[in-house]
Amino acid sequence: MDYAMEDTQNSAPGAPTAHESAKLSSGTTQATAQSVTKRLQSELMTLMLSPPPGISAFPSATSLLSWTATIAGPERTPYENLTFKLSLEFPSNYPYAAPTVLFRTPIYHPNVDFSGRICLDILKDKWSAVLNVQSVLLSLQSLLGEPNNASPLNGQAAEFWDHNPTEFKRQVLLRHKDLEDDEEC
Amino acid sequence: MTARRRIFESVFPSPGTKSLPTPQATPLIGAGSFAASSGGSSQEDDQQSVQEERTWHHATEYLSVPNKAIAIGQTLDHLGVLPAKWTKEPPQIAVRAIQRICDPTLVTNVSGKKLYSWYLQEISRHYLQHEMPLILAYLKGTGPITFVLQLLRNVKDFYLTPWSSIAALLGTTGDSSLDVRHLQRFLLSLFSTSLVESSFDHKLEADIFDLVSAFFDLSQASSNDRAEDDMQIDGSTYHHQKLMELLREVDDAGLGGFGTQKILAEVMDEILGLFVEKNYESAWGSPSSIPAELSEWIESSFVPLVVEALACLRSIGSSTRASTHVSEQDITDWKERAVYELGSLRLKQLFELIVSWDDSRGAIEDLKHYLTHNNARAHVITQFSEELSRRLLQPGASTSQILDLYIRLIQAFTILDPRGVLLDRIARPVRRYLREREDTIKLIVSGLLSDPSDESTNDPLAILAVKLQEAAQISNDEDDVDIDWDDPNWVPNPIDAEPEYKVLKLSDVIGHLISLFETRDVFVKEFQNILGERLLQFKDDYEAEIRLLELLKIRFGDTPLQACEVMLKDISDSARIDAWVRREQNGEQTSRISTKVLSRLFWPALHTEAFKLPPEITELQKAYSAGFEKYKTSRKLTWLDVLGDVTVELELEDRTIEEVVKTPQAAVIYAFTHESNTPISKTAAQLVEELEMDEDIVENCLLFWVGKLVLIKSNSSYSVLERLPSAALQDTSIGEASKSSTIAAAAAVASATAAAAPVSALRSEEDIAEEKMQVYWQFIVGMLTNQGAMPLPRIVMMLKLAMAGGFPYSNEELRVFLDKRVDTGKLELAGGNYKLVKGAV
Repeated sequence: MDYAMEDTQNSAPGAPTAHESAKLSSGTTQATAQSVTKRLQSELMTLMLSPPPGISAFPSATSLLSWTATIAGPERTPYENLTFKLSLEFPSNYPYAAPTVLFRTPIYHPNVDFSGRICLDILKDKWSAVLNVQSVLLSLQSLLGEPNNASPLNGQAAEFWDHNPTEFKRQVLLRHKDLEDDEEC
Repeated sequence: MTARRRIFESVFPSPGTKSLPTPQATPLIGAGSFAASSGGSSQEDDQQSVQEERTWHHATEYLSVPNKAIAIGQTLDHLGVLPAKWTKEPPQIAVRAIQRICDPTLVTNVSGKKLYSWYLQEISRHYLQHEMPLILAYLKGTGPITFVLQLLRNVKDFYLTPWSSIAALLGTTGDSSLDVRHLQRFLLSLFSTSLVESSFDHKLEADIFDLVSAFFDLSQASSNDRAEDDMQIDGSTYHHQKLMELLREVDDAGLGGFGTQKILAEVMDEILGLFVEKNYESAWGSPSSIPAELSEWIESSFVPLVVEALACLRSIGSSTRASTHVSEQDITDWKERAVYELGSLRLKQLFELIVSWDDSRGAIEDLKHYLTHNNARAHVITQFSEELSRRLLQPGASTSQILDLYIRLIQAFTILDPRGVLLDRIARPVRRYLREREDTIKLIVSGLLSDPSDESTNDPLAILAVKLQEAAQISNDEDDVDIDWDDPNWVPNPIDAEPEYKVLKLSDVIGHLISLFETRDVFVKEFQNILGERLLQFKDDYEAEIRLLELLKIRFGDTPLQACEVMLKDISDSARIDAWVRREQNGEQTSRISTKVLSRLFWPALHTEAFKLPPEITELQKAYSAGFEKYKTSRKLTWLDVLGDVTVELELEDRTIEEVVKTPQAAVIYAFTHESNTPISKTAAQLVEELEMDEDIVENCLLFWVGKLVLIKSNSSYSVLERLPSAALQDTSIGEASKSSTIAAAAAVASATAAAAPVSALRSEEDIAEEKMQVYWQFIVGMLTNQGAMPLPRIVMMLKLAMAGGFPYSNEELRVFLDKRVDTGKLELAGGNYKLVKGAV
C-alpha cells in the first residue's frame, strides 16, 4: 500500500484504500483531501527534522488522519518522568477545524476527564489554521505544568493542585499507567 | 562332372587349374554319353560339344591373365610384364576359335558375350588378387599418388591388350557389346569401387589442392618437390603444368569421371575461400575495390583454370561429358560465391573491424555486399552478438572501452545498414550492459566536456565532444523523427526490425548514448555534478562549459538544463559582485579574497564541513560579507570553507614556495607558521584538535605537504623542512645516502598523494545517502516512540505513508540500516519487532 498522495489518484477505482474510504465518508472533495495529506506530511516532516524536546508524534499504520503522540511530563511538575500517549484525529477539513485530541494514558489532571477528554481553548473555539500538531502538543505539555483551574473538568484535581500538592502528586502517580506497546490504538 | 567343374571354374576360377586350359585329351563326356545312348543324332551332338569345347579352350588360353602382379613403378615395357603370347600377333588357332565363338550366325552353347564375361571375371580375379592389395598397401604410405595412377594406367593397358587385339580382329562383324569401350568402363568402375574405402580420394584431393594453391600462390610450402631442371620456369607455370599432368594421369588411369570432377570442384571451392582470405584478410582500405578485383580474378584466372582442368578429364573414361561445360551462369555463381566468401571472412573479423574503425571502412563496405544474401543479416546478428557478449561485455572490459567500442559500432553500422535495424538489434545487449555500469554517465559527460581541440588527451571518448560540435546544427525534435511525410524515398522498416524499433538519426552517436538511459534527467543530473565540479575549479575562463551548455540546450531544450544555466550565471555574476565589493572596499585588504557566490538550491550537494580558519582569514571573510550585504541587502553569505583555493607563499630558510592549494591544505600549513627560530612540530591528532578538522582531511593535507618536501614526518609528528637535504647535507659525504632516501621517500609520498582521490568539491553519493538516512532515522524514532515496537515490513509501509517523497529504499536496505542501529544499541530486535531501547535516543 502506498499512501503517497500521487498514488491516491492512480489506485484502482474498485478497491478504495482505507485512506480513500475515510475521505469518501467525510464527503470532501479530493482536492481538500489531498491538501490535508500534504499538510500533515509536511507537519510530520518538520516535527521529525526538528523535534521539540519531550514531544513526538507519528501517524498510525492505517491512516494519515489519525496520529499517536507522546509527551514527556515537564520537569519540576508532578508529571516529571512520566510519559503520556495521546491520540489525534484530524478532520478532513483540517487545518480549518481542530483535531480531536484525547489522552490515551490515564492522567490525573484538572483539565482532563477520566476518559481522556481535554478542556483546552485552542482545541475548541480558539482553534486557528496557523496552529499545527507541534503547537498543539507544546500547549498540552505546558498545560500539564500550568493547569487552567478556572474551568476544571476534574474538580478534585483542581482542588488538590491548589491546596494539597502532595496529595495531587500521589493521585497522579496512582492514576498513571504506562500503556503497553501492543495496547495502542 | 568335368563340365560342371569347368563352369564352376569359369565363374570362380581357382589359380591351380586356371593356367591350365581344359586338356585336349579329355573330351566332354558327362552329358554327351547320355545323349549318345538316346539316339543316332546324338553322336553328332557329341561331336559338336567336343568341337565347342576345343574352341572355348583355345580362346581362353589366349585370354587368360598370367598369375603375376605388375609392381608399382613397373611399366609394360619391363621384361616379362606382358606375357609372351600377348606381345605378338594372336596365334591363328586362338583367332579362329574366338571368331567362331563370336560368330552370331552359329548357334552354339558359347557366345561372344559368354567369352566377354569370362574375361571380365578373369581380370577382376587378377586385379583383386594381385593389384589391389599392392595399391592399398601403397596408399597407406606417403608416396606420391602419381605412381598409383601410373600403375592403374599400366594395369588398364595390360588388361586391354589382348582384348583390343581381338576386337581389332573381329572388326565390324563383332557384337558392339564386345567393344573395348565397354571394357574400359568396366575397368573404371572396378578401379573406383576398389578404391572407395581407401585414402585415394583424399590423396588426390590433397595433391590437386597443393598444386592449385601453389598455382595461385596461396600455399606457404610450395615448390618443395620442384625438380632442379624446372627452375627456369616460373612458379605458376610449373604448377600449372604439374596440375595438368596429374589430371591427365588420372584420366589415363581411367578415373577422369564424375568422382574426380567432384574432387576438383571441392578443391576449387576451397581455393576460392583461401584466396579471399589470403589476399584480402587485412586489406581494409576504403573505398573497397575488392569485389571488383575478385570478379576480375574469377574471370581471368579462376575460370580458365577450371576449363582447362575439366578439359583434361574429358577423355574416354568420363561418361558424364555434359557436365564439363562451363556456362555464363556458372561464372556468375562463382563470382557470387567469392563475394560470399569475402563476407564470411569479414564477418569473422567484424569485431576487429569495429575495434579498428575507421581504418576498416573498406572492409565494412565489403560486408555490405554480403548482407544482400539471404539469411546473412540474421547470421550477422547472432554471430556478432555472441562475439560481443563474449569478448566485450564482461567484467574485464572497462566502461570507457565499451563506450568507445559502442561509438565505433554505431559509426560502422551506419555504413553497413543505413536503416539502423542491425544496429538496433546488436546494440541492445550492449546498451543493457552499459546501463548496469555505474560510471557510464560520468564517462559520457566527461567525454562531452573534453576539449576537442586538445590533441593530447588520451580519453577515447573525447570524440564525443567533436561529435557534439558536428551535431550542433542538427535540431533534435524527438517526437517528430518517426515519419517524414514529405520524404519521397520513404521505405517501410525492414522485416527483421523489432517492434520497438525506432528510427534514430543513425549518425547521431550522442543521441544513442544519451538515450541509453530511461530519462534524460539522469544524464542532466550527472552533467550538473560534473559541471559544478569544473566551475569550482580555479580558473578564469569557462568558455568550454558555456559552449557545451548551449549545445546541450539545442538537444534537450532549456527546461531540463535550467539549473546548469543558473550555475553558469552564478559564476558570471560572482565576477561582477566580486569586482563591486572590491571597488567598494578599495584599498582594504579585503581585495585579497574573491568569491564565487552560488545559489545553493541549483547546485548539487556541496561539502559544507567547516573547520577553523586562521583568524586573519576570518577577518577578511567578515569584511567581505559586510561588503556583499551592502550590495545585496537581503542576502547573507554562507562561507563554504573547504572549497576555496588559496595561493600560498611559503618562506623557508633556503627557498620560497608558491603554490595554489585547497583551503584545508593551506590551513594545515598555516598551523606550522612560526616567527622565532624554534621549529614547530605537531602530530596529526594535535592538528585535528587545533583546526577542528576531520582527521582524514588532515592526514591527506599533511601527506600533500610532505610530498611537496615542505613538511617532514618523524615518528608520528610533522615538522617543517626548512632546508632541503641537498643543501643541508651538501658538505657531509655520508649525507648522500640519507639525502637520496629522504627525497625518494618524499617522491613516493607525492605519488601516493597523487594517486589518492583529490578532494572533490562535491559530496559523494554515499555521504548524501547517509544524510538522507538520518532523516529517515528521525521518522523511525518517531514511529517507534508513538506506535511501539513493529516489524520491518510495517516500518517500511509506514515510512512510505508518511514521507511526502515516498521511501526509496527496499526492505533489505532498511534492514541493513536498522541492524546497524541494533549493533550500536539504539534499537533492539525482539520476536521480529524492532523496538527503541529506552533512554538510548
